[in-house]
Amino acid sequence: MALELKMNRRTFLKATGVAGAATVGVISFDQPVIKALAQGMEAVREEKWVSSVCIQCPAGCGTKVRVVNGKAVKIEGNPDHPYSNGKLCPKGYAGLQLLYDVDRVKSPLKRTNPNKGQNEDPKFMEVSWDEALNDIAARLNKIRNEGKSHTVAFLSGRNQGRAGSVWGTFTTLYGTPNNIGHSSICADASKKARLCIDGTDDYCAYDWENCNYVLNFGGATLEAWRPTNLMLQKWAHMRRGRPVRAKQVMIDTRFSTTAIKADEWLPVKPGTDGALALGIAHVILTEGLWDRSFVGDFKVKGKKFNHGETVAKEDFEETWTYGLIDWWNNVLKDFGANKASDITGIPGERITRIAKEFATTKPAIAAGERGAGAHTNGTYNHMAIHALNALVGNMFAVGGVMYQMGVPYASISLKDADYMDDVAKKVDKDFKAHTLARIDEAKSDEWPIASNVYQNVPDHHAKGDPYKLGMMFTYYTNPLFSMPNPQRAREAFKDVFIVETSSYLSETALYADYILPDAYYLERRQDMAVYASTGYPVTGFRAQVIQPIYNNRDSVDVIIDLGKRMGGKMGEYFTKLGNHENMLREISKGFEKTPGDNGVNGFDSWAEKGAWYKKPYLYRLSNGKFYEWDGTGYNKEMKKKEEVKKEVKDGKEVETKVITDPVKDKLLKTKSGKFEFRSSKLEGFTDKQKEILKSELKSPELFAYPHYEEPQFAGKDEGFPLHMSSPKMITHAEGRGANVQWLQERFGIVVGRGWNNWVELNPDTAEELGIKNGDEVWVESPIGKIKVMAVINPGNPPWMVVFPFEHGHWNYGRYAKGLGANPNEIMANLSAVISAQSCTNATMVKVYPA
Amino acid sequence: MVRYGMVIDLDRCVGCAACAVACKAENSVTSSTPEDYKKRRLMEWNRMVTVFKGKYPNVSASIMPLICNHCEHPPCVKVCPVDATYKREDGLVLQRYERCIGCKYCMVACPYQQRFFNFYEQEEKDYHNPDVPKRISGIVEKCTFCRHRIDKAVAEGKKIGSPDGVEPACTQACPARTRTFGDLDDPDSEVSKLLRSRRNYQLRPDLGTEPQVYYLD
Repeated sequence: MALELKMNRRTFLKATGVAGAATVGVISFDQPVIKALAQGMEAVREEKWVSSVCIQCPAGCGTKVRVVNGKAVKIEGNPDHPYSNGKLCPKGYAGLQLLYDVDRVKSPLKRTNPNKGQNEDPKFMEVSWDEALNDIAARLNKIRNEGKSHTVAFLSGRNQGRAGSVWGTFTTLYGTPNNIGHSSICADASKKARLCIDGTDDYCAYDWENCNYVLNFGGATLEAWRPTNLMLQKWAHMRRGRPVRAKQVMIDTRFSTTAIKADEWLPVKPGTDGALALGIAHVILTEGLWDRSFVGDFKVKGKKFNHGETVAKEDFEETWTYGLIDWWNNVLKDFGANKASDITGIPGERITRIAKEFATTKPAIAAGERGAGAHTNGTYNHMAIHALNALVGNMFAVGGVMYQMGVPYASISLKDADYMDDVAKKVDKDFKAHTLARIDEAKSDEWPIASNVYQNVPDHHAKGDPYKLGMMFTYYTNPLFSMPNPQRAREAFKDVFIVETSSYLSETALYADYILPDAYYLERRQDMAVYASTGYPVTGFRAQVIQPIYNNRDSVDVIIDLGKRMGGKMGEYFTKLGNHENMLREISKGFEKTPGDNGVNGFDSWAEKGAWYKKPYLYRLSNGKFYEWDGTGYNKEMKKKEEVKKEVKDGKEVETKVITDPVKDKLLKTKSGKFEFRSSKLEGFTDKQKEILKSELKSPELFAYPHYEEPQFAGKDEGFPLHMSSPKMITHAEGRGANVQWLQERFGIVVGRGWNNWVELNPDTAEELGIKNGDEVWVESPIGKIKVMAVINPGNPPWMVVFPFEHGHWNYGRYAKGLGANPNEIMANLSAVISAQSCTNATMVKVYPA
Repeated sequence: MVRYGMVIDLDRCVGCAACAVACKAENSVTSSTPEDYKKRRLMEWNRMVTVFKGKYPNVSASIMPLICNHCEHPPCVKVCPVDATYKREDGLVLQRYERCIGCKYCMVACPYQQRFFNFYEQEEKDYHNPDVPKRISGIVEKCTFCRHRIDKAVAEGKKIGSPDGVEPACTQACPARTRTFGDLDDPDSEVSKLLRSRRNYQLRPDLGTEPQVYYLD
């Protein structure tokens, strides 16, 4: 794949100019080639650059990897991938140290010590792939024959591309509803908020290129928000890459890199982002600054929204929104800048100014992620934030927000349904009938629209409610480390048979009965449709850059192999499926019909170039009308159509009225086909579901509106005085980078600390507590206490304790082991209503010298 | 004459340290361990420094990437007793590893602290760049502006300098396109164009070192 340069000694010397060195005065004798020659070393090299895709975060940036004599020696950005544009973030460049980490798991391992615990040596012994997979298949079949197939759970993180589909098929055919992702400890709050008010359960794509004003609620653009690499590129572009400089307003509880670099920083009190958004919405409406072409207007020109005054519904005609007047009357009318100020701590006049800037500097985007979402009120916070986008009319507009389009893959010809045997069918039926629950209770009446409630799995298993797990597979996820209060998982999972796929000795791996080590991402193939950002579809091809160094195998192939060994219909399916590469070849047939802009039209060209993409984004809102791209421009208006279809049925001619509403089908997928300030999704909950939801709320009557729900904090009632935030640094490869020297050396760029984590304190708070920079301190919450180094960050508000997440591993290789502390260990396990977003910012602590 | 220099636009900089990691990878700069770090034996030709002004709520901070300034009048060259460090005709300040005796005079002389001492013989790593030499214990090293890339480009007759020519790894790596590399003597080069901006400054120009790395504020 890619450009291959084969060089012999002669051409190499010629190419590097050493043959003519005498004439090139600037070459000195420490020139490596000359040195090599002087030492009699053979300077012959086989060198190539291979296009692939990064996996240090879920973004999926394209890479080019330099391979010299079979060794990967440099990772750079792929210029032909729209997310990379030849660039990467620091994590992307650091991938080589993970590949060549000497402490990788190098072969399948089997546990010989039945006892599990932090201080138990698993006494792993190397086994062959055959032995491991045959034993696991036999155990799976035994559980299945006992009628307990549902007690097998598959916990996964980055199951990109075909990994996701293979795990999905495996669970379906095996007969378990427990295919559980860890999205609830990620950023589900913003996704579910959007599902509630505009009908799409996804992250947004953003037209940063054309945006002039960014109101960012707790999305760490320059640190952790994905796709980080593209965000960094766009940030600089919005500053200096075009004639008009965009304004970046960062709303964050801490003085982060993004806050430092932003044009303005609004240090809100934790969990109050929604209140700020509502205050801004109030100003936009009372000042008459909303977008009339999208939202609509008063029937009588010149009528206004006045503070504290209700508006009659019939006085206002909405265009592309629904429920504005109800929202105003029930939530907004009294929620002025002063009220928002009381809650958020931001002065009222500042809120008013920001609101006016936001509504008048078009196009403007209101965005946000986990900072605002990881609170008990996180889903409502994000509903309020996202509602601002509708008020200024930037949904699907130039410089506004969009949703990422899917990739036109061809579908896999084998259908799961054809290979489900009676066990699989029964489990599927029972789950759909709600007579069989998932172990995390997602999709139950408590969590009807939550995708996953990953953080609650240990508690459910410990209580045996709804049942006990018999076996657990983990892929790219580390429940014993990464969830709040992971001590629960460490206790609960002692009696679960665990099959882990990591190539690193994670905490979960140390509890595993088998480790089936995945090939590192440079050692295997995978398709990688990108994380939302550009709007138009992009998918990368993760090529195998080098052969696996050790006895590791691609987990997708391993699962297919395991499926084959299961026998029965399942075995038949996976035997026909063959292997991972077959799947990639099959899906890439979709590109024959829809070639990419870079000419990629099938498997080979996709693999060679490393990316398929097709511009432009197909939809556009302009002056209150939606248009679709017709091949030359946004010319085709997306209008609601009523057609009378005549069909001949049973010999009779039948007329049926067919209504097509392309906006509702493709863009605003709510019940009303509009952007809903009053959520019909939430109002459509069953009575029982509503009752449960309302019981969790302080303002139950407002459950269907974006509103400010007072956040709950663990430890507040017990008098713990400080708020803990546990952000991710840019050098943090998503919980998996503590063993990367290049990243650890500069882990804390802002505070200038490496090879450790810390708690950041405001200087006045530190002085009051008698703590100096670099002191060891205890951080205590209702969950427990933990010892860590204190660092003074002069920019943080006095009420904040900033405790970055990364360290505190018991193992994870020689470099990670024993470094720093894990903030999760003192974090209470709270979940946001509706989305089940884990509330990682909702624990209060006290800090004192150790 | 060619005189290479760099312009770093801090208004573009996003403080991500991609430059620092790419530099370590490209130049096979030895990675530290937690113990090395505690002993301040961190080798980073390209490093990040954050300077705070004031405190909450009236606070600001500046995140600066620092590299060797490849000074026009490099103090490190003056003090080297064995001629290990020298200024090349094209402006690069370089280190001859085989001449270096590890006296560290240059490290003391450099006002920017951009020179690093090898306390150990470098371990061989599979990912090391075959284009740069292995380091032995007891020698000083520093940023070379990726001279191996420049020399190769010269030999191959390739264009050198941003935006479309060969660049040092840090410049090529930067997702924010913060850095621009090129010939300061060529009035049409990107670096020269950027230096016409009134935002430009050098680090401690009062020392008379005449840094060839410029910052835009």
